[in-house]
Amino acid sequence: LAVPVMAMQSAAYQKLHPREYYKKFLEHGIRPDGRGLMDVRRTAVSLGSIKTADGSALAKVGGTTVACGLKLEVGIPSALKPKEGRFEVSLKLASLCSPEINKKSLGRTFVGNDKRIDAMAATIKKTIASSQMMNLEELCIKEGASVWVVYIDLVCVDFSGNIFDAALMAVGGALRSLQLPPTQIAEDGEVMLSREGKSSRLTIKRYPISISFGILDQKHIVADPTAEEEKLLEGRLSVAFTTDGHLCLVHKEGRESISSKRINDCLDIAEKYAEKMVKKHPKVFGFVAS
Amino acid sequence: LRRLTIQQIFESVISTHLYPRSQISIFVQVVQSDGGDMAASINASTLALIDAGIPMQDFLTACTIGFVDGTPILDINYTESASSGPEVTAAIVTKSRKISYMQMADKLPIQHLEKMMLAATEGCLMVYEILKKKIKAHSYSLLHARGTAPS
Repeated sequence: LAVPVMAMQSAAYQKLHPREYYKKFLEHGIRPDGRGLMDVRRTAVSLGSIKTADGSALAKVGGTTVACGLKLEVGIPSALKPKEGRFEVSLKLASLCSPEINKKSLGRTFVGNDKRIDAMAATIKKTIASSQMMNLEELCIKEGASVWVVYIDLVCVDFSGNIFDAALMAVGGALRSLQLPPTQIAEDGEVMLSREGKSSRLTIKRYPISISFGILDQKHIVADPTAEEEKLLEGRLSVAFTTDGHLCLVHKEGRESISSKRINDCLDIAEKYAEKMVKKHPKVFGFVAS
Repeated sequence: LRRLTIQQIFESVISTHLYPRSQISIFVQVVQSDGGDMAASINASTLALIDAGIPMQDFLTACTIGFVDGTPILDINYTESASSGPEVTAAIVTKSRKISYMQMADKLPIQHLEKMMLAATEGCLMVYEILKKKIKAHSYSLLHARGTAPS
């Protein structure tokens, strides 16, 4: 009879003092879901799931699932970079991703907070650019006149915390699966899909792999937070390394501040994680030559 | 992205518990941009909050660091940042020297990042000294105007 009472007491404690409840776990080097402080959940990536898109992938980090679809459109290159194509990133949370979507608590939305999501999309775009994973000149159709614009649409279909890492993996997989259709240019300069010729792929030299940390306070930093943990973790740090070992993103935000030594610790963890990811998903993150 | 960042980092230093059921709005307008917009916005917000008399636990100062030929460069302007070198923007909570905000979105060897982070902390402390001097001078002139200046 003691067991149900204990279970009720601990559940009550979690409701009343969520931070203290969580800290008790952290002090023993473990988290409520049984992971160590720096353990990332299982990941899975599958390519080409969406046949109507020009490239697609589905990535999972634990329960969090992000789908990425790429759509190609012909656009005009910028005057400063007439040989380069462009890409745009959009991220949204599907309404079905979480029972708490758009639920407000104390005036703050946890899931589906638009500003957070837009900021995340901007950071993803920055990371893709900084990693130099693709050669934008491969998107050129006619220099100075027509280039491919890749619209990268990310949709979170299941939210269990840490969208950023799953989204970045999904983008990597989708770009790998992207097929550029053969084109021909009519006399009036209009670009048309041609029936002859083969589709080409992008040469992807490296993939950015990120690991996001939640910061409870100076002493407690956890990797890959779940949805419940994200509610308590006021600070966030995302670090991305490319699969060939270069740092390409350090993004720290949120209310909690940490020392630069702790940031360095996280960098070391992220570096090892990127190497591990290449070994774990060689078909996705192995080198692609076009 | 900037709006959200400024909101979040200032939430941690402003003593919001002294203002229940109220909202503190920070409006930032970039009048002229020559690189380092984010850092300037954060420094300006810190000064504005002090000018408004809103109690804060500490100064939040920020600066931008570039990197050329193995040397970190403090407070890069537009021309320097338009070159394709790496760039770090960081904000620290001055007394504890803890990093409250950091953004680095460039490809960079990890050893360089360590140098840049050190430079960022020093740079922010330098900004702090400048801000502190100005605030002290301003406060003295206010006290002077009231006739209650210490002699």
